[in-house]
Amino acid sequence: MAHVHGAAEHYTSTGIHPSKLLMWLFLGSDCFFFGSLIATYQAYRGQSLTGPHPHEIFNIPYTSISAFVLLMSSLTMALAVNSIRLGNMPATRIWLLLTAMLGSIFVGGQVFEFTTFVHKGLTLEVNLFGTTFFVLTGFHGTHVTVGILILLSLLFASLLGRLTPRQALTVEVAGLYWHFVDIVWVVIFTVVYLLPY
Amino acid sequence: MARTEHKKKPDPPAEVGSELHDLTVTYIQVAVVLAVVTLLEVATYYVALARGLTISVLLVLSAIKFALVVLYFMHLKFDNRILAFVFSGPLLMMIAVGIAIMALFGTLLYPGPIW
Repeated sequence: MAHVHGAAEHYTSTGIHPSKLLMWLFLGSDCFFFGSLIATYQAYRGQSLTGPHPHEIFNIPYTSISAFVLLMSSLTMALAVNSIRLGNMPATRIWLLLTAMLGSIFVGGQVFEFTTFVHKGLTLEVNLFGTTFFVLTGFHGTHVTVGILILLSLLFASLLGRLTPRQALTVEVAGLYWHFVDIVWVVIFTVVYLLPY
Repeated sequence: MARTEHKKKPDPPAEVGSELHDLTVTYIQVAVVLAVVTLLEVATYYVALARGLTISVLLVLSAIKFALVVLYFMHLKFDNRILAFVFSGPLLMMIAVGIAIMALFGTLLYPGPIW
């Protein structure tokens, strides 16, 4: 953790900081993770022999608002990165907090949605739709939750004076993760919820 | 890895060679476009279009949102080209694998639900 406190940074010969390069490599591998789950969902699309079926339980207006909230959290995250790059720590803290709050609203909404679905009879093992839906969206929700914890840890680090504009790259790398979680939901929202069954 | 050179830098605030600009306006403009595209997506869901057209429109709109976030919010448009390859390589491979899986299961040209 010594480098976090402003020790000399080391760059690869590409001019890219190792932590940033590693995050992009991780995101590339995460493409395979989510891609596999989305492809599996598509492979079993409409193949459930018993209900509940998607059109019986999906609440599109509700999920649209939820998707919009996560999309706007990408804006607040980008503004957090912009603020710390400009050396504006108070603004950075506000944007980090707002991003974490919007992420929490999304996760809370997903928990409510899952609970509603279970009450309507859709469980992990009831049919192919339930299995593929809960695994895909559940892993995404887990990613968002991890992102919220990262954002809150950055917020507390800044309050303790351990995150300064000298560590702008740390916020930028966290931002990459957050934006990735957002674009995964862009795909899931379209493929799972909006594409006609 | 042995060929990788490590250059000592005096506390760079961000990426090497990057310039500090206030991108607030750009980010807000992108967010407005994203919001409008999301509205169009949801509207497409409710409008009675031909099935193939609905799918095409939704996939294009989704791709637009994906690209905007990656290019602007994730800064890939302005960043080192290597990062674009690092990300787009696995992404394209996964799209190919996804298409192959759907083809194997016979759902690539989705015929509609069996229920």
